[in-house]
This record gives sequence, structure tokens and C-alpha cells, in this order.
Amino acid sequence: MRSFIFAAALCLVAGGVSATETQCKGNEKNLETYLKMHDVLFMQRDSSRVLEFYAPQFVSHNNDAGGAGAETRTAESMKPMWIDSKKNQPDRIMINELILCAGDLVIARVTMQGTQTGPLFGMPATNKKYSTTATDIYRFKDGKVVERWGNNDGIGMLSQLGLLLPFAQMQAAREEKK
Amino acid sequence: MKRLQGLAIGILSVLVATSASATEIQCKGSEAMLARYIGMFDEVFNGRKLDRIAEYTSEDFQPHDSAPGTPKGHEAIRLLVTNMAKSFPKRHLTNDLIICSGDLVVAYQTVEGTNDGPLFGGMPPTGKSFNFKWIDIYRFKDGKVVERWGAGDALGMMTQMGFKLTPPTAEAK
Repeated sequence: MRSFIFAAALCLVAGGVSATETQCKGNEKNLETYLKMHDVLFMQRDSSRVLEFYAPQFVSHNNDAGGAGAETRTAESMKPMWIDSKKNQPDRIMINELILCAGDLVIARVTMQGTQTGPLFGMPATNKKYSTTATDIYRFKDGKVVERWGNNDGIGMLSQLGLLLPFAQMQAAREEKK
Repeated sequence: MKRLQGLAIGILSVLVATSASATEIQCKGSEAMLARYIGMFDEVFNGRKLDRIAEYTSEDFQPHDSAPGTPKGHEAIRLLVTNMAKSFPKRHLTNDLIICSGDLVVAYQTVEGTNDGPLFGGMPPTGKSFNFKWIDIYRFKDGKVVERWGAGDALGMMTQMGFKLTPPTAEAK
């Protein structure tokens, strides 16, 4: 049963990947590193391997557990994000839709899908499914991330989970008008 | 005409270089596309000139983040610009990072403003200020935008405006 689910999930992922648009000619090495990091850190969420992909110190611009404000962070500080994600949303997948490379940068437009079976932003499990988009930018140096920027559609995600009351009310008002 | 165009691009390049001294730009070989992006950014998104939308965006413009059933084409941009102007009349965008790759431009921006107007059509203004990040990806064809993917820290913005997460209510389940 478990292997069936795994195979089904793999098919879903493969289906997603086949539709990925990639513009990385001449930057194959960074593309390869990004794809491996996507598999190990973002899909498997194997935080023990963070140093394979992140420099010991890097600059983070993301308003997430990795840190906003262009501050210098340690690779170690990224671990809780993936540990929590795996624990609270074990079925979460991330599909690459668009991957671009330019100079030392890799940009990835992704869709994340999962079920909120555990706490999220201090909110209890809703057991609802979500599908949300994000765009991430990574700067690589010697094959490791030295800077990261990223945003995700947190409002869309929380609205789908029924956790953002003002938006839920707006949505309801709009539906009524129709 | 060509010379005029060249002059305009020259002036634009200077503007880019001066107005955005902190902007990192990786667009070598894509200068024409970069100039089109900067033109749209200045005139349509910061300048809010609705009569310039058709200059920079295609009639077939396809946004990838809008709610199902919302308009495409010029109307999508017109709605976006006018709605933002109503809720955030003083909003200002700054490019932090611009990347060109093939037919795509990626822009990482800082969004600063105050919620001085009604929010989402009905809610009263909060009067609060915000400063958050946005990333847009634009696909250009013949100098005009045909596709856009956006991803912003709107949740950070909402939090700064005082909105709170709420546990799901019984009827929401």
C-alpha cells in the first residue's frame, strides 16, 4: 500500500516536472545543484543534508523561518523549517513550474500542494488540502546557496485552509453577490 | 526616429543607473527587454498611467495568479492598477534585483505604502503603513508583456496592517 502511494506520488511529481519550463542554457551546473537541493531539502526535507547545498553562512531575504531583512544566517538555522514541514505536512510536495538561470542566480517558480495535518503559524490542524504558488531566487557560489529571496502566496494558502478570517469573509461576500 | 529611440533608451539607462543605485541588474545582452520592463514599471505600476498599459502589455496578456474568472488582457492590468490606487494611493515600488533570462524578466521589489483608502472594495482603511517584498516574472513578446507570475509577501503586509490569523470556526469546517 505504502509503495503504491509512493509510486502514485512519484507519478504526480513526474507529471509536474515534465511540464517544467527550464531556461538554463550555459548554467547546467547551477541547475543541477538546484534540482538536487529541490529533491533532498524541499521534497524529502532531509535537513541533515543542509550543508551539501547551503554555505555555512548565507544572506536571507525571506519572511519565513529562514529570516527576512537581508541578515546573515547559518545553514543550521534553516533546519527547523524543513523538520516542521515534514512533521506537520508530510504529504506536501513542491512542483517546479519554471526554472531560470542567469549568472550566479537560479529562479524557481513552484507550486506547493499538501494537507495541513499539523500546526501551522500557531494554528491547529485543519486537515484541509491546499495548493499555493511561490517564487524563489538563489545565489550560488561554488555550488552552495549564499543568498536567498522568496515569497509564497501565504494569503491564498491560509484562505484555502479557512485560517484568514477577513479574507474568508470577503470571499463569502463576493460569492453572495454572484 | 531610430536615433530618437536610441536616445530614449540612453536616457532610460541613465535613469535606471541613477534612480536605482542599490538595484542589482543581471541583464547583459537583454538591454532592450530591460528598458521595456523599466518603462512599464515606471509608467504603469509606479506612475499608474492607465493609457500606457497598451504600450507595454499585450491584448492576450495572461496573469497566472488571479482568482478564477477574473479578466485577462489589458483589463487585468487596469483593474490591478486602479484597485491598488484606491486602497494605497501613496504606494511606491522599488526594484531591488532585476534578472533577465531568455524572454523573461524577474524583478524582486520592495513595496512601501500606507492603507489610506478602502480595502478590497468595502473595509475601512486601516491607516497603517507597510513595507514588504514582491517578486514578479514577466514574459515579453515583441516588447510587450504576455504572461506574468507574481508572488508577494502579502501575508506580511496584512500582518503589518493589523490583520490576524483566526482559528477555523465550526461552520468553516
